[in-house]
Amino acid sequence: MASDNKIALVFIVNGNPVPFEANVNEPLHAVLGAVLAAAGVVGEADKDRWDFKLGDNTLDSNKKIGDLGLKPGTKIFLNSKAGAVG
Amino acid sequence: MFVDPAISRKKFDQEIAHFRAERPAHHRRGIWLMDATFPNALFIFAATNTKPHPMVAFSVVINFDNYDAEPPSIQFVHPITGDKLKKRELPHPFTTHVQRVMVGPNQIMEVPDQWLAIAFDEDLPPFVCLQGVREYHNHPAHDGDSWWLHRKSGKGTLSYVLDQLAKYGIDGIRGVQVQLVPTIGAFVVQSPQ
Repeated sequence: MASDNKIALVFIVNGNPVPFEANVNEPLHAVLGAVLAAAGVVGEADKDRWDFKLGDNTLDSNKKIGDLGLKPGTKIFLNSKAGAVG
Repeated sequence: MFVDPAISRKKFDQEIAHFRAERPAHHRRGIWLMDATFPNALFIFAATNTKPHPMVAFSVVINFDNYDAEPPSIQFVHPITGDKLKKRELPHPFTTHVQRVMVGPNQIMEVPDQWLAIAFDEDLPPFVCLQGVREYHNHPAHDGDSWWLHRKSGKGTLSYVLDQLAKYGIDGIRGVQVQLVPTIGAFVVQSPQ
């Protein structure tokens, strides 16, 4: 069972669902390393390389998770930004 | 082909299953899977913010031969006929970066200087020049940026390429530009009394 300062979220990393229990007092980007590791993504844990998307909205990853108004079980899409283009 | 098709097929099926698991979110964004027959998946991308109706903006075939020893290949096709498109037939240039240029006092113009869909001639098929796409890594200009540097980074997954195509291909579409060209159809003649 999640404790008072934890929330169970689901991060969709490159299409792959990763359930993750996050601390609501941490900024959203703090989960990045652990979530990517759980998804088997290596070498890309730089927060500036990823978009956290909820529906059409890109979430501010510097905000505390508790301030984002997320409900338990919310699906957040974690999309890698474009690398080199052209 | 150098990867056992059974392996590529299994990974293809997994990528398609991931897409289907989040189908409602993809549909709301305008990404629709029309066919998935290994090694190809056909997607259409709809501009969801056009008024009064959403419109099909473009369509691609994503090929998973040799996946994921090689990244997927992307071809723009006609959404109805499936014919390969020429660069000039794309709905817009898929701009990924604009440069702000000062053209006068207090006047700044945004000039596109980087595009996702590249061709060396307007009559050639465009290719998606992006890390994680086969055409990018096979291009001689990128022989220092091997696919194997990115293979486990998430680039080159179906989710990644669809997200990039949507980001630069449909997310920014807010309407359509209509050009009406007046032409002389006939003379208006008043009959003699």
